[in-house]
Order: sequence, then C-alpha cells, then structure tokens
Amino acid sequence: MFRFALKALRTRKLRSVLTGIAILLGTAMIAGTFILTDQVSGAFDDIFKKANQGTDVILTQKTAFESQQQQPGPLPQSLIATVQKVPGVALAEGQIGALGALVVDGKYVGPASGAPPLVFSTPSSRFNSNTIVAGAFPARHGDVAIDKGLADREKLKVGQQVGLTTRIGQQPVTISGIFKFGDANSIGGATLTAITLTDAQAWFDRKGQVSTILVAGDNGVSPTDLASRVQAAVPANVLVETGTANASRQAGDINDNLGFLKQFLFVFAVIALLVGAFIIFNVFSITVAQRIRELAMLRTVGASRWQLLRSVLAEAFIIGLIASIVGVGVGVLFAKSINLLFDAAGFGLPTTGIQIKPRTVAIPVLVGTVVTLLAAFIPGLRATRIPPIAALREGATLPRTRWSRFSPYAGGLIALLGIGGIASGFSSNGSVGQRLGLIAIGALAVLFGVCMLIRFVIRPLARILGWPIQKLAGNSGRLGRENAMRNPSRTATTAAALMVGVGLVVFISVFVAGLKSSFIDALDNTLTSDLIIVNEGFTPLAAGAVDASKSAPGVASVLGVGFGEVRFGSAGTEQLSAIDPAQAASLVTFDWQNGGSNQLLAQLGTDGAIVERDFAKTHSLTTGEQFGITTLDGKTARLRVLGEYRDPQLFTGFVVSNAAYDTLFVDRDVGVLLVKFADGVAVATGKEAVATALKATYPAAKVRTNSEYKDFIGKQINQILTIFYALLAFSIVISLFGVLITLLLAVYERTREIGMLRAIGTTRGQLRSMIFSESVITCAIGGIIGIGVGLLFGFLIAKGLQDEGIQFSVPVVTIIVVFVLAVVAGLVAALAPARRAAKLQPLEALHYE
Amino acid sequence: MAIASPACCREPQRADVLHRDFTAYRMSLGRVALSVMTGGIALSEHIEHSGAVTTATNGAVVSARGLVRRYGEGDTAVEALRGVDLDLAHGKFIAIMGPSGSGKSTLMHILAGLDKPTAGEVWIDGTLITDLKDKALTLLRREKIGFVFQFFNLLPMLTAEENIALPLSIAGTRPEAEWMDRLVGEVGLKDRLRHRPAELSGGQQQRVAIARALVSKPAVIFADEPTGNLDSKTGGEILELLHRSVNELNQTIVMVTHDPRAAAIADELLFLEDGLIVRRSPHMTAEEILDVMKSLE
Repeated sequence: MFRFALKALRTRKLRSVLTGIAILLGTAMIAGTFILTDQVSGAFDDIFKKANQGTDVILTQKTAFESQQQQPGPLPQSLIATVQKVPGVALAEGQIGALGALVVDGKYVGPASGAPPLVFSTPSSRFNSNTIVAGAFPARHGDVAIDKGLADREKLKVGQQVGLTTRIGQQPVTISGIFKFGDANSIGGATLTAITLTDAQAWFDRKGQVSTILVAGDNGVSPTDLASRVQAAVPANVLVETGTANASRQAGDINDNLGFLKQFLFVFAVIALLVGAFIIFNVFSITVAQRIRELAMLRTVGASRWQLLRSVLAEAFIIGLIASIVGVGVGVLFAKSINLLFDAAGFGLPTTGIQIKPRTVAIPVLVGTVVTLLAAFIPGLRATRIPPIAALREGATLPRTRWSRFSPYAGGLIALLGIGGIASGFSSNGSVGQRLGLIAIGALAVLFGVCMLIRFVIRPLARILGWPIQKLAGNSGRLGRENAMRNPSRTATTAAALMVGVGLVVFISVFVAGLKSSFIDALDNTLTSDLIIVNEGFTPLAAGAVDASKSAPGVASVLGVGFGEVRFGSAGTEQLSAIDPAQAASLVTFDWQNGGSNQLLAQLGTDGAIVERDFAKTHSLTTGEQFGITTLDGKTARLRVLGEYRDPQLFTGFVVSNAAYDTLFVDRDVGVLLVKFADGVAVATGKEAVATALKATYPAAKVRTNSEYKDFIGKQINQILTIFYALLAFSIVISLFGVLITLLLAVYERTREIGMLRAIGTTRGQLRSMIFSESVITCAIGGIIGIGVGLLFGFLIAKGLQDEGIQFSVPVVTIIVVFVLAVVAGLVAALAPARRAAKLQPLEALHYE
Repeated sequence: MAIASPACCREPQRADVLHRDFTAYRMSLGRVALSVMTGGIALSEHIEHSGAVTTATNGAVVSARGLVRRYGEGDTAVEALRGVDLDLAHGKFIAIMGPSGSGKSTLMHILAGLDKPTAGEVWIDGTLITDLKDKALTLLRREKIGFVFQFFNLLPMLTAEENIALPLSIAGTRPEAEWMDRLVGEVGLKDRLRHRPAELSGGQQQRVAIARALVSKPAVIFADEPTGNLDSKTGGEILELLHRSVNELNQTIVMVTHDPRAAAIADELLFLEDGLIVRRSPHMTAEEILDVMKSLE
C-alpha cells in the first residue's frame, strides 16, 4: 500500500507539490521562529560574554525586583578601595554606564533601530573588550570614542567636533578614536560612546559614584573564590557575581523577553498550520472523490478498508514529511525576512550566524507531519466507506462519514462554546495567563465552529455574490457561480482557509483602532497642553529641560512628568508618575472620582498619592488608607491615598509629587514634558520658541504639538500593525494556494464538461472568466465571513476591555480594503487554473476519463 | 404522433438555405481563384476535386476535400484518414458507419471543427473551417454546429431547461419562448424542465442533450454514438426523435455509429474502412447494413 501511495504521488506531481506548500509554509514559520530566536539569543550571549571577557568579578547594586525599564542604582566610588584591598584582587575599577548620543551639526544622531544609545566610561585595557581601529580611547576631558558602525554610517572622522547629550545637557566633545566591539562594527544597532570616567561622573550626575565595579583577580585565584572573598568585604546590598555569571544573567533576562517574541511568532505559525490543514483536508477529500472508482476497484479485488485508509494516510505522511523537511530549509529565509521586517519597523535585533539545533528540525517536521496526517484522516475514513459496487457506476458520489449529519449542530455548539470561552476569559478572576488562554481557546473554537457551519451558507451567499458577477461576466459568471455552489463543502473549506487570515486581520485592525482611538481620546480629554515633548528614541529627557522650556517666550506653564516602577507590597510591580503639584492643574485634567478635586494635588507632599481607580480596586484601597512600596534599589516608603481618579491610559497606577519622587529615586529624568502657552500665543510661534530654547542644550528633545504627537503615536501603532499584517499574510498566502489547488483539481475533474462547453461554442475567454468568477465568489465568501468573524472578535474584546477604555468601532476603510484584496486574491489564485482550462483541447477534453 | 411543422416556420429556413448556398458558392469560387494564383499544386487539387464548386450549388452543408489525418511521425505514423472527400446535403440524416479503427470518429471530429486534419479542407455551411483560428472556429461551432454525445455531457449543476438554453446563454441571448416551448414539446420534457441531470433517466438526459443541440437552429448536428449508452428501447426512441428533427425541423444530422439498427434510420450512409470512404448508399435496412459491415470486417 505504501508503494501504491508513492506511485499515486508521482503521477500527480503538481498536486502533491501544491499540497506540500500548504504545510511547508507553516513549518517554515515554526523552524524560522526557532532559528531567529536562537540567532538573537546567541547574539546577546556573545555580546555579554565579550563585554565581560577580562572581568573576573563584577559588582552592582542589588535590585528588589526585575525591571525592564530601570537600571540598578549607583555604588559609592569609595567601595573600589575596599575591594582593591581584598586578597587576590589584582585590579578593581569603577565604570559608569548611561544613555546618550552624539549631536552632529546640531542634529541628533541616535541608533538606527530601536536599540539604545549607550554611553560608558572607558575602562583600562584589561577590562576593555573594544579594539581601537583609529585614533585612541578618550584620555582627556571632552574626548569621545565611538563605534565603527556609527562612524561609518554618519561618516565621522577622528578629530571631528561634535556634541554629546548628557543628563546636564549637550556637551561639546571631540572624537578621539573609533573602535570595534570585539570584531564587530557595532552591537545590534546600538550606538556606543566611550568617555572618560571623570566626564561620565560629571555629565551623568554620578559624583563620587560608579555604576559597576570591575575586578580582575591575581593569577591562580578562581573567579568563584574571588567573588566570595569580595562578597565578604562589601555591604549586603551589593551584588557580587563572576563575570561569566553576570553575562549569563543579563543574557538570560533578554532571553526571557525573547520568550515573548517566540510565543508571538508561534501563534502565527499555528494559524498558518491550521490554514494549511484545511487545504490538506480539502485536497485529500477531492482526490478521494476523484479516485472513487479506482478505490472501489481495489475493494472489489480484495483490499480491506484498513488498507485503503492506510494508502491515503501513507500519501499524507509522505507529503507531510517532505514538505516539513523543506519547510525547515525555508525557515531560514523566514527568519531572515522577519528580522528585516522588525528592522524596518524599528525593532532591529542583533543576530549571530545561523545555528540549526536538533529541535529546530525535529519539532517542525514532527508537527508538520502530524498535522498533515490528521487533516487527511477524515478523507481517508470516507475512502473506506466507498462500496465496491461504486467501481461499476458512472459518477458515483463519495459517501459521507457516519457522524457528518451531526456536524451542523456540533459546529454551532463549538462556536457558542467558543464565544462563552472568550466571555468567561474576560470576566474570570484567574491570572492574566489563564484568562488569555481561555480567550485564545475560545477564539479557536469559534473559528472551528464557523468553519463547520460555512457549508450551510455557501449557497445563499454565492447566490447574492454571484449576482453582480453575473451582471459583469454574463453567462460565464453564472456558470462560475453554479460551480461554486455545486459542492458546498469544498467551497466552504476553501473559503474557510481564507476566512481565518482575513478574520484575524480585521480583528487586529478593530482592536488596534480601538487602542489607538482610546489613547488619543485620553490625550484629548486629559491633557490641556499645547505641546508634548519627548526625547528621540524613547530615552529620558534631562530634568533641566523643564526650566529651559519655561524660559521660552509665550510659555505659561510647563509640567515634566517622571515615570517609575515600584513593587507593591510583596509581589507585582506598579507604575507611578511624578508631577509638580503647582503646575499639574493647568496642564492635566484629572477625572476625579468620589468627589475629589484639583485641591488634592496641593496636599501631595512627600507621602501622599492620588490613585487610579483600577489600582485602587485591584489593591482594595480606599481614601485615607496607606500602602507600602519598594523601589528597584530597595528603598521603601508608605504613601497615603488622598483620592481617586480615572485614567486607564496615561497616568496608570498612581501619582506622587516630585518631592516624593526625589526621596525614592536617584535620578529624576523627565519622561514627558507638557507645555502650555499664555493666552493669545499662536501654536506655531510658541512651538518655534520652545524648540529654539531647547535646541542648544537638549537637542534630543522632540517638540511636537498635541496633534503632531497624536500623529506620531498613530504612526508607531501602525508600524506594529504592519508586523501583524505581514505575519498574517503568510496564512493568507497559504489559503490562496488552497484556492489555486482546489480550482486546479476542479478543472481536472470537470475536463469533460469543459470539453463539451468548448465544443458547443464557449470561447477560451469565456472559460477563463468562468473560472475567475468561481474563484472570486469563493474568496469573497471567505472574505465576508472573515470580516464578520473579525468584527465579532473585535466586539468581544472591546466589550471585555471596556474598563481599559478600549472602544469598539467598525474600521470601514480596512473592511473595504480587505474585501477588495480578497477579490483580487481570488483573481490571482485563478490565473493558473484558468489558463489550464483555456488550454484544454475540446476533443481531448471530451475523451478524458 | 406526427407533429406537423407549420409552413410559417419552414419557409424562412428555405430562404436561409438559399442564402447560405449562395454565400458558399461565392466563397468556393474565391477559393479556387486563390488557388489558381497560389500555384499549380493547389490548382491541380481543385481541378481534381472540382466537386467543391458543384457541392456548393447542390446544397451541401458539410463538404470535405482530401482529408488526411496522420497521428505520430516517421515510421510509427498512423493514418486515420487517407483522403476523404464528401458532400453532405442539407436536411438529411446521414450515418457514418465503419468498424472500429476505420477512422469514422476522426472524420466526425474534423468535420465538426474539434480536430484539425493533417491535410485537406472542410466547409461548414459555406465557411472554410480548416483555416480558422480557435476563436473564429469556436464562434462558428456556437452558431452552426450542434452536438449530441454518447455520454450526454450535461452540466450537473444546471436544470434541464438551463442545459437546453446553454448554447444561447453562452452567446449572451436566450431562446424565444415560443421556440423553446415547441422544442421542449418535441423532445417530451415539458414536466422535467426544473430537474437536474442527476434526477433524470439516461434517455431523458439524452433528450435534453438533443434539445440543447437543436436550440440554436444550427446548420448541422453531429451525433457521436448517441444511443451507445442507452438500452435498445430508449435508444430507439432517441433515434426516432433525431429522425423527427430532420424531417419536421428541417435539420441536418451527421451521426457516427457502429450499430446497424441505429444506422438503419438514416437517409444516407457512408461506410469507412482504413481511412477511406468505401461505399455511399441511400437508406438501407439493418440487415443490409449488417451485410455490408460483415464484408468490411
């Protein structure tokens, strides 16, 4: 039977190849995800290992929790002497790490991608993992050395006068040298700027302090020994690690974040596999139907049902296995293109060379093969139900399986259960993971249920959609419509494959449009400022920018908002915002709850907080109560609840005064700077004045009017949308292969009909437009149902997230675009089948068996 | 149950025939003139087959000259037709007979414009079709040729009525109600119009196919073993129906068959053997046909 299956595959090469592609792309996405995340985590491993190459032991401040946003606080410089005295220490040295970028000819020159602009003090050669390629490392005040990547990109030369953004404003500097990181020009898009330790301390507000202490041991002392000796000599709040342990911890932190990326990409791979499974199912159903007489003949000569099932499954196994193996190869391309995509969207990631681990091959091959087998199982079962007598009958139809009559009820039930699952996911009190899981499973169930039900709406939908097509394409359109309707299950499965991709595109666009509009509404409703100023590249703005902008003519009030992350109680972190109580009332409109008012702002002091309603609800806090917080550096404080406001978008968590913030945090950088003009100042004039006031000292500050800022946020969101769309495009492409192959098989199946039509006077053009009509109708059905499902999901999620301020709106433009694309896709997918049909010679077609 | 065709319907068709004949005549003359100009070989062919001119004037709907059909090349080449000339008159039921492999199906396919001869020419209703490009040939088939196939070849998703009207819908028109009524009455499908092929018996399906062939009032209908897939009683009914369409609707039918009983209904018989017409005869009985066939095999 296996040999029989191989023969069957060989005689239907084109079909086998197209079927294979359906599963190939899905497995390529799984393999590609492994490859890409391995490449990225490998790159970070290398970076941290290389950075700590000459460092045996490294000292940093202990943190109270893990934070993605904040760096650990500084260590006192005096600790270096203590460490130096520890027996076995050859050299102990302080280093400072901060954020800052060059300013060339008044222009801010940051990293090209979303990577950070890193500034660090130059360590002595023993600890330095950089190799100079031109000039020298900074030795004097005002010297900088930069990475070769940046120097090449911006055509910077040794000796050139440039600026450097620092915590105390722009500093004039001279490029003293250009270096490579190990043998790489740069680190994953980040910019590297080396300065002297004294400059670093002065410019980044670290007088008498260092960020880390690097230690090298005497010969013969192991790093582990050295670490425990140092640990004994320093206070308990200092973290002492070996260089390797520190490198792997930092790489590990990054890998935790990559875990999210992996899951994110896997979701799309699973969707692609699901779509591929539909196509496999369809192709095998059609093939079994076409081979009815052959299979029945096998039964008459004594093949058992099990043997027939096995022959179908063997075919599926071979296709699945080969396609999956090829898919792993294609996965390399997928990894590359996703990396390019992220780069283009501003989320560039460093990568190392491609390493294929065993699981990168094993998992996609296993999953791809199993999915193919599962998808072919029902068609295989139906093959077993062909009675031997069918061998003798012309045009026998394939028997359905025993359970098929329950499928409409099952489909409806599954869809309803799915909706229930989504709803309970929103209302349950479980963890975020559990709730998301419920929602995802619910959504999958809805998709499945709808797929089972589509069969029953094919006829009415095809009738409606066929009407304009018949007007357009005449009789060919009508025949196309009839062809789309003649086998509703087949059209349904083909359309369902497309529906999945379209549905998710619409859902995401609804969801993101909701996010965007709720964020923009929040800006409109909460902020009364005229300008919103943030730094380039999402780096914090120096606090001095507040006074600088205040000095600009026409400015009435300025509010710098600081952000922070603290631990609440013993678990979980919360966001806090810091404001100047005297300025806040004129720039921020708080939506006060329970009779609160702006007067509460004046009472903030150093231990008061106003809290967001959700924060109060989550932690069961009422006005007058106190709550404890811990900062990253381990400082604790108790704050008193003065009142509640509602703002699920901007000031989430709670708000304290700048005074309280200063007692808790080392640096008070400004996240967002809000500016309001005096009455009668034109926005353009005022903006110009503020920009001029900031330009010399704070060149990284990007001054935008409220509406410019909204556009900027909109663009950022659209970039993320692009990534989603690009990933969903894979599933849509797969479903188009499904349309193509189904039509191609239909053309083979209807060869004699086509011969007859040609004989009685149908032109090639008419035949082509018949196939095009069928394809367009199928795709339009997939599109319409997809749009419906997408809107349903969008509606459910908007209802579920109502409390977060997410609104539901119908994205009319997207829906029109998606529908038009579905129709165009239908035309594209029908190109090859239509050509095939038109090429058939009437005589040969008439005598086709 | 003879159905008399009203004179009003017959007369325009006669005029049609005259018009067609005249056109054919002119075109044949033009063809000869062209051949004269293009060289001696072509000229000599036409002198040899000077019937081309006469057939056009004597009312031939289908004419063929020097048809050769060769399959394959070199030593393995097989000649299915080795030089066939014929003129088939309008309003006749013609049967093409011959043992299997005699070339009768090939002949019909070439006459119907479904296949191209290796050499030779075919005129349908005055139009030389052997030189036509696919598009023009398709349109010619649409207007001038009807088909009845052994396996009915109906579209399963269309009703009987829609199947009948198919050739006209392809042309973007629809049958006149009166004509459709009459046609449906002739083929006896009045109460079956809303049924799909799967709900019809074999005989009924072939009736639908015959009505489909008749609906566009073609110059000629080609029937390829129309009874080959039916039992003898149903087959007889179908033959009777075909015969009636010749007599009462003034159609021309060319039927390929190997069944002597089917051929016995024809007005004229052509016998093929080894790619050549070996005998032409007016009506014969089934027994006479059987004798001829035996002598051929």
